[in-house]
Amino acid sequence: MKARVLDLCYGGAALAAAVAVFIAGGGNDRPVAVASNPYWYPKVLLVLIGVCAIWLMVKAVLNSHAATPPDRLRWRSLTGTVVISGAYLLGYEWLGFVPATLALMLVFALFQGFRRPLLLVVVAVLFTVLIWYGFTDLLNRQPPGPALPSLSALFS
Amino acid sequence: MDALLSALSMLAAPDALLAVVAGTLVGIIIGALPGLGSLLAITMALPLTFVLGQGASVALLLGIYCGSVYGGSLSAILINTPGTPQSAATVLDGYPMARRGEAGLALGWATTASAFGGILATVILAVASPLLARIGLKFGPVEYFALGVFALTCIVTVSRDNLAKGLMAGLIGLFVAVVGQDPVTGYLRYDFDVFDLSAGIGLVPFLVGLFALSEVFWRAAERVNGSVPVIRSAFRCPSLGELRRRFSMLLKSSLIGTWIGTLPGVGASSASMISYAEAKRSSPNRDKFGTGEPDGLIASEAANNAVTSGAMVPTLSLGVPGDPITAVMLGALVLQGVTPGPRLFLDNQELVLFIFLMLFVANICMFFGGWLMSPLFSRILRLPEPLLMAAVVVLVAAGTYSINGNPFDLLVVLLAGIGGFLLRYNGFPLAPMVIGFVLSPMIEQSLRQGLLMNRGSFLGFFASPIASGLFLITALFLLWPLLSRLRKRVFSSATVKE
Repeated sequence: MKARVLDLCYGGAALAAAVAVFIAGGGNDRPVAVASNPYWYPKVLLVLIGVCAIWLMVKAVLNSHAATPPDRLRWRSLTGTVVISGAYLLGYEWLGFVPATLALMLVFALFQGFRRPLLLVVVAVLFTVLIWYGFTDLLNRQPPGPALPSLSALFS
Repeated sequence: MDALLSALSMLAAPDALLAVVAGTLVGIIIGALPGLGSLLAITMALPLTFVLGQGASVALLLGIYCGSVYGGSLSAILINTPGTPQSAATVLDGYPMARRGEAGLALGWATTASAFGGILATVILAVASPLLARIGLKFGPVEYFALGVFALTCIVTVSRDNLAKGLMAGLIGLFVAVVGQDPVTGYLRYDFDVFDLSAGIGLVPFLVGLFALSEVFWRAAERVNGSVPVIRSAFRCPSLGELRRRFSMLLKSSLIGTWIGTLPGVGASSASMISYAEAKRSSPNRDKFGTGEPDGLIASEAANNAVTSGAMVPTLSLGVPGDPITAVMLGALVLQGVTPGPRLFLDNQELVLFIFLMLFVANICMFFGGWLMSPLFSRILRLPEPLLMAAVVVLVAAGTYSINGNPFDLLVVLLAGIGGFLLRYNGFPLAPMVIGFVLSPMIEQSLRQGLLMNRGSFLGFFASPIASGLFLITALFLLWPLLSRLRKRVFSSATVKE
């Protein structure tokens, strides 16, 4: 996509978002005095965001030096990575740390074209176990989901 | 004296010492991995600061900062790829040295110059701090507001390529920080009846998503350019004679780095380039630059590590972050209950001294870390990227979740990651967004407190000489490009007339 079109899209989106938040954000019933009005400062920021968005769009229309975005991106790889990472982040608590992390390591690396299954499994298991014990035994923070046996229990 | 003793006792705490050693070593490793960089290293460590004490957290972050800036030189020398942008100039002479069979010596020079630059800058910073402390007494809400406005001008510096995009990113950062409770009245704003938004958007999930996760997405989307051969190396320290011969270059480059570090918004990448350019101008071996001349390597590495200490001057004394890395450091300090700014040198003198001492220790750790770990580096640099990126996603999630145990933070990470990628795709700089996010609470609170003190009048802000001076500097800073262009035009028209 051309940089000018992208700038127009981004500027338009920012302007629409600023206007929508300005209207829907509330605060019209608040005191007029600046110091005691919690909405005065954010609303000034929204107006300025709108001004910058218009500036960006005007620049795009006038074709002043718009930087060309990289056009040779691997969109399939990006989409897959976003979906896998998103699924991991959103399912992190529900699935639990150990199963979610093992699944992420395997799926992520295979999707990115890593084709050494034995090494992958070894690294995934070692890394998951290392992080688990790092958080539970060193930092005293238990990640969610089924727990591994504690180190003190293992060595007692 | 009490403050010094207190700082020394903080320094002697085993957890702080362990944190600085671990932070430096991890920083070196992450810095050496091309593309990951100091910012990612620090943002990945941010969640850990919640479970560590104040001293250990500060030590960890400083260690990572110093280590990662130095670590960038390792891949620059060994695989012709700077691990961090700060080491871009190191490639020019480091890799030719390695190709010539002097990889060990190149690593030795990079390590020595980095440690020297960092330590010298720390000493200078420690000596100058009492002066900064005296200024702190005179700061109130009005002065803080003026300082906040001045700090925002560094958005202009980091957005030179596209001011409209930089300003927009900065304003979005300023706005995102206002979501949640109003700091003056306690009123809930922009929560849209979503319970999780009432507490505001967390700095850690926002930063981690914006930088670390967007980097994962970016690397997945970028075309892979094939593998680069890794040169095997054995660390070799330069001899005393060599050190004596190149001492003036070490000293000059470190001073350049320290000075540039204290200027907000310039950063280590520019410092190493400026220092390299100056070395190329003044070195007796200037003809050999680009073919493996140690002076070029020294200039780049001494300067970029001196910046790490120099950048702490505006960050600690004014609360003005010099670059995205110090912006994240600033955020980390705020999370620890430390308010950087002029009063820090008075209210928390032992912490300031502790930071100086820790910078000193981090640079010594960096020297020995580089020395001991050099055989490992060539192995780490060959880690398969898919495994590395998956590990980053896991660390981001585990670290962020461990803070509050709230899955909403992970949603913020994901959204910030996608947002960060989209912004990077269209050339929006991310640094202004962080600067805006970090400075927004201070600016809003001091503005409204100042207005309350002056009975709603903005004119009262100009009654303070410090605030007026800061406003004037801000105006000059913003108008400087315009004035400079005007001066050039007048000068050139006068020359034509003659």
